[in-house]
Amino acid sequence: MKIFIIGFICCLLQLSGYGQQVLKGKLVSEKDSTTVSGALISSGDRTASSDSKGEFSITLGTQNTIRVKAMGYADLQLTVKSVNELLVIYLTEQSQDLQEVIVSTGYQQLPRERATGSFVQVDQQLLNRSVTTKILDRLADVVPGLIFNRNIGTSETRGENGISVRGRNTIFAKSDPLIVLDNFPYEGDLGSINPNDIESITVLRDAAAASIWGAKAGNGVIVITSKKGKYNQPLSVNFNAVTTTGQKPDLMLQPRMSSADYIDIERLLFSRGFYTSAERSINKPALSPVVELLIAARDGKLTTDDADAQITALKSHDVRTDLEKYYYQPSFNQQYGLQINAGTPTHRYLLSAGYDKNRNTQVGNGLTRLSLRFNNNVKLIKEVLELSTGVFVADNRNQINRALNDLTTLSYGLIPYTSLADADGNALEMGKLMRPAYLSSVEALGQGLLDWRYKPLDDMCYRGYETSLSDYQLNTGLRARVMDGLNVDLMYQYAGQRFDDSELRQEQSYYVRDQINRLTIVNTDGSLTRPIPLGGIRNADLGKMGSHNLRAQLSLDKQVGAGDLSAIAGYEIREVNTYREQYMQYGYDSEHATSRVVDFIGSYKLYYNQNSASNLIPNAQSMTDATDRYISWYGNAGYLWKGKYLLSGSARVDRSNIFGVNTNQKGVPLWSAGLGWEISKEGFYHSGILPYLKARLTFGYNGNVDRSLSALTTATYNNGSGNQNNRSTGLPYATISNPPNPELRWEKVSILNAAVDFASRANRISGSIEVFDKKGLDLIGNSPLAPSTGRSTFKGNSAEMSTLGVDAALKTLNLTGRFKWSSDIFLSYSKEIIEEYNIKSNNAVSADYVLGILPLAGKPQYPMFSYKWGGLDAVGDPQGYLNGELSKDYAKIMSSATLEELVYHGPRRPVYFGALRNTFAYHDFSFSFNIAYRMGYYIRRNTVNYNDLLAGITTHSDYALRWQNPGDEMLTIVPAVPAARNLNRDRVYQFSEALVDKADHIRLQDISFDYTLRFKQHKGISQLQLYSYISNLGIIWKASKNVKDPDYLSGMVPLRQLSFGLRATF
Amino acid sequence: MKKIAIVLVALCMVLGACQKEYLEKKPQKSLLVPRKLPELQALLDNVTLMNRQTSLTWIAGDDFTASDAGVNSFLSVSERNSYRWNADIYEGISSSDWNVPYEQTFCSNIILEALAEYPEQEQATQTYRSIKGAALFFRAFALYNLLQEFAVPYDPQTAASVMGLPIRTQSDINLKPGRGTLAESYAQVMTDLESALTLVPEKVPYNTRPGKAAVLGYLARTSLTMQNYPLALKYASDCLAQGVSLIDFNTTAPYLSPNGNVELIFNAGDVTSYSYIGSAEIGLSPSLFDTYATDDLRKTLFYFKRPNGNYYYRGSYSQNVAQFHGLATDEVLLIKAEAAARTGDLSTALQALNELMQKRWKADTFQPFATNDQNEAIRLILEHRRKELVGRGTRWTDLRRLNQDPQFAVTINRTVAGVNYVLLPNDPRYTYPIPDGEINGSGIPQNPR
Repeated sequence: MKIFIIGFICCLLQLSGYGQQVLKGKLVSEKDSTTVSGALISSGDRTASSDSKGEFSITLGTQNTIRVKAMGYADLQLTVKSVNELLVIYLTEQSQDLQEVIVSTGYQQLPRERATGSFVQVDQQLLNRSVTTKILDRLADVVPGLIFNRNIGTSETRGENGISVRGRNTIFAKSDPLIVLDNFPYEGDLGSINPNDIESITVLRDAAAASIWGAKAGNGVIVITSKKGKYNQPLSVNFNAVTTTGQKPDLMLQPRMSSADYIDIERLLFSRGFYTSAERSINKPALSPVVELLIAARDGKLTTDDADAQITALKSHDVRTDLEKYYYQPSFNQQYGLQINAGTPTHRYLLSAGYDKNRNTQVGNGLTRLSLRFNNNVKLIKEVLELSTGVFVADNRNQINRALNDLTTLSYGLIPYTSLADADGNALEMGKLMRPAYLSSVEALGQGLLDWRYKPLDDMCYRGYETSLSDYQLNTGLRARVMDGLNVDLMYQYAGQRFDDSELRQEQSYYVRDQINRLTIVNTDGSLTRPIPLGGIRNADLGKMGSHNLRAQLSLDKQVGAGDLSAIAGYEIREVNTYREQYMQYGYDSEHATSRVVDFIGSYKLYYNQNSASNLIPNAQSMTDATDRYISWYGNAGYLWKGKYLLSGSARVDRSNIFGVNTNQKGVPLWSAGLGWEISKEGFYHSGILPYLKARLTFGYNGNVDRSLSALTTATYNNGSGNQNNRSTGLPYATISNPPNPELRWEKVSILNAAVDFASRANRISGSIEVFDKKGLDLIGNSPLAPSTGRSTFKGNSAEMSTLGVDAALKTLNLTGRFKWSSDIFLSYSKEIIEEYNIKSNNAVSADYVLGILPLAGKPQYPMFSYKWGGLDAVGDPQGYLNGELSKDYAKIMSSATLEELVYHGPRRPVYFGALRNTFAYHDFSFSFNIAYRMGYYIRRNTVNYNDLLAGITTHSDYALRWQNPGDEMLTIVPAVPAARNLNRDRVYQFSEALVDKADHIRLQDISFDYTLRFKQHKGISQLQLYSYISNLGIIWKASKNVKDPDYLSGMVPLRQLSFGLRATF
Repeated sequence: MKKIAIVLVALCMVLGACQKEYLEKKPQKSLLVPRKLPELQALLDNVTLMNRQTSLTWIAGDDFTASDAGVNSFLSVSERNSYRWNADIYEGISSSDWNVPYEQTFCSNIILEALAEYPEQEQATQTYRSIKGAALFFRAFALYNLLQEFAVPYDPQTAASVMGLPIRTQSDINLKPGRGTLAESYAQVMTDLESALTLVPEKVPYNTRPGKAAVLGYLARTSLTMQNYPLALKYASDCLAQGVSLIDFNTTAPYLSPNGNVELIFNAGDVTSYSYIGSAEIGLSPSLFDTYATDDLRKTLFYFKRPNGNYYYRGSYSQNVAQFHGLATDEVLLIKAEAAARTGDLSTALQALNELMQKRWKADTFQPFATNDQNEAIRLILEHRRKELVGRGTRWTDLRRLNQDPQFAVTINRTVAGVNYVLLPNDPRYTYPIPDGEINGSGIPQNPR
């Protein structure tokens, strides 16, 4: 590491030889003459620090030399010639790039120069550049190899956070990277972490970096390091406040069929008698306003002209205008953070508090978060024993208003012309479960049933609820220096979480009124019996999670031969317990927290259908109690020989109660090895262009676990009480969840990584290029089974996949003078291929590939297949191909198209992605913007679904483009409305090549601007930064003209957000 | 340094020693490795899986008709195709009618294999025996139900030369038993039921578990399907001797008894909630409704008229949500009556028929049925068999059996959207195709259709 020292002494005075002298001095920045506080000044064995004015005094040692160390400045050593006057010392600012980068694996901190593995560090400056509530969101488009997957179906996310590091390396197991927060895996809610608390994030991408995490490292590791106090630092206070406003969503961007078109379909279906069954049904299911008008006209209760006039009036209304008016709002987020830290030579601490209050775009939704963190380190015995303690508490409250869900979960979907309010803004009634006309007839009976009508806008205030989640962590660590270079660490962490997602629906809510009414019994004397009592209905959903982690670790730093050995070895034991219970309470009185007993076993008749005798009071009762235990041994060593040759290795053995006995017995360690060579230190290397050049090569294995499987035949116990299916006995029962699989083992990912790091003179151009080859081995995959075996598929370690990729990062300092301009560019390429998957293609299931249900060997995990498109025929029917000929035998095309007959486009996830960030600085202003791009993948456009439409459910706006008249087949690809529902006809069109588009695009992700004010002589505030951040600015270029945003096909594009904030340092 | 090494070695030994127990903790409390008897019983008590019967044929039989709107509103293609007796039923989609019975078989085999590991002295307990008996019963129940839909009708003359269905007696998923002959398949059903008969208790606390009467009843039902009338008569009589009950419709409706229908010998439902069950556009075949006499209480207790004019079948003989497809006393009486009539014992036959009909007829107006003609007796019994067992999942099997005798053969006609469909007696479409997934997975031959 180069250190530039530019310092000079203003006053040179003669040496004095008498006794111990006290030197008074002042530290000033060479650049702008501001004072430098918090610096460490040492002379002999004495130390002092500079105060807020940058002044210090120190008793000089015998040599009369002092050393000055200050954050952000180059170290300085000088000999004092006189102590008679105030010594002003100018310090040179040290460029960020030249600072030693310390990466963290969660087990050890090491300088990047000493590492062979693939680490990416996101420092605080970069983390602070963006404004988000969640910390991980700040990694978007700044880390090579890390991508936030978008546009993925719910079946593909499986409740995960959607982050992939160097591609997805598993099919069924968890695909999330491991998140480590301050030494231990973080199992809490990621939303609990206050971004202001975080010092840096390190992403571990290859085996040498991550294999220390063994069976959890298969998807990469993200290590989050929180801020800590520093020794010898005066009290410093940092404050950050930022507010973010976001656009209100534009529902009109959703490609939905117009009200007029929908009404035409309703008329058509009505004329075909589609609604007759529902109309005559004893359950009186709700019908749309138009259908009700048509019924009234048919039955002569309304003249046809009146009905037509009313229907015409409905055609011009779009429910989305009402939704935007009553259910959406601009978002408004506030975030505040306060940190206090200080350190003496033997004690350091950091206290941090954060508060967030978000108002979401959906009315009634938002969150509040309060977080507190306290890190404290004490040297109990100087240089021998250090005690560290940490406490972290976060309280999250989420406000969730489910009113919108209620409104849209209807048997025919939300009718596009629904009006939610009249001209005066009064809430209007809408048929949700039962026909309003029937409800009127019930009211007319005057039996005393509760109001049975559904007025969505009135319901909003009875449907809101709040979930609460608290996370807490207690950390203790003891570090003892056994001898020079050898330390022992003992660490213990308890992490806990409690959540309460209970939902109370008040008696006034439609849901509760409906539940009560439907089982109400009208007795012969006119009195009412209500099996479900009056009062609210509460769905209790409570849980807790607790984890104990204990780690004992030896670390050695020692000169061995001509090199430096740095090694750790340790033992770890870990238990995670999660517990959750759910139950329902009726007649709930929130004021007194009381509920009433109901009979969950008895069966009741429905009020509106006295022939139905078997209705139970809903009782969602369940409990889960799960415990994962792990015992692990690990070791890691790095040896730097002659300052330029690096050798590293690590190994880890994991045992767990979820692997099953055989795997634990077999216990092959997951390991890695790495080589590094700093070529530029060789005698033969004389490059003026690239004065720094280093090569790295690593190989090793990481693991992954599919927790849903077991080596034994397992069954799951179910609570029999109140289960509709087991009502005749009420007995608890068990279901077989797993056939036996004694060969079950964890998934393994081997990673070969080759890399070059380089820097030109003065770091004008610096960067790294890494090439990796990952192989997922023993992946959990399905194997087909004949259903007559009793299982249709068998899950086991049968699949393999590989990922080949490149991650390149480049930083250029384009202008370095007064006006600075630098660029950060990264490019990631990753190509996934399924190498082996046992369910092979056969004619009958080729539809599985088009629908994306089944992985296929030789293709990426998410491939885009489609049917060959033969255009529309003369009557507007879609045509596909069967045996190479145009065909309309849709069922046959679906069931017998061979793989060769399908069109393969490419992957459904980006192959190339990256970003370009330009930063400009002038004086105290700084401006940057980030452009992100994703390339090499395909999307399937949404379109009309006649199968839904002819079942009365509204569909896509492509309906307006449909074939209507002969000749239209030359102009459109949207088929005509079929005579009858035909799912296969729909699919041959929906899954045809005509609807597949290239998804490549470039978007302007964000713009950041800041202005820093430095206060020189003032007590109190020393620095003030004002900043602004704009995100989601939109697409700059896209390959497809057919979609607005290829990553957000539903039309709900990410909303633009604007933040203003300030950071102050005292 | 040495000291540290000693401490470390000691630490490793201590930590290593406690590893095994530490890792034996169950990852999920609700998870169990089924070994203990209560756990095996819990697997059997999973009525959602075990007490279910194939039911796609319900819509293909002649008891019910659907309006065009009704047929269009059926949610699954297999229902729409079944109603029209189309050659292709599934259009590539898997069928629970095929999968569920084999899941029942798998579960039974898992239980039987777990039981086989018990030491001999523990095999004598009543709990052990009733679990084993039930597992055998469910295995037979599953195979019998499959045979009614996916194998050709049983004809004693040809059973040894036509294809049966894969018989699974082990849970090992790697086995590929092939189809064997129809005779082997039915023999397996009978063997399992006969073994179960020696194991199950006389009385069971829940009618979802098989007791002696249930096993005998299914033996009788299977024998009848195999047209082995003497055996059917024997088992039906033995079953009725177990002290089964019959409801008098004059006093109690079958579906509204507060403590459940006492006639139920074994409670089972349809395999999946097909959408036809809830459809208001499906009603009892009008011609069938007209055959009920005015004083026949079933006419009003089984049906009521919907506003759209069709007759709603109240369905659930058991009060369950699903259609009742199990076994009840009335069916056993009818098996006894028919088997006796077929073997020439007319007095036993008429006695059994009248025992039932007396409880179905308006009190005071009931005239016992009487005839000296064997054919007339059989015709009478079959008529009331059909009228009594409406919607109980037996009609398809009866059609397949009775069509073999020209005297009782039935041609079914139906019209959907103006197209007329005809199902002739002994048409190959009385045997459902095996779903594609099975054909591709195990390579067994498909049924001609």
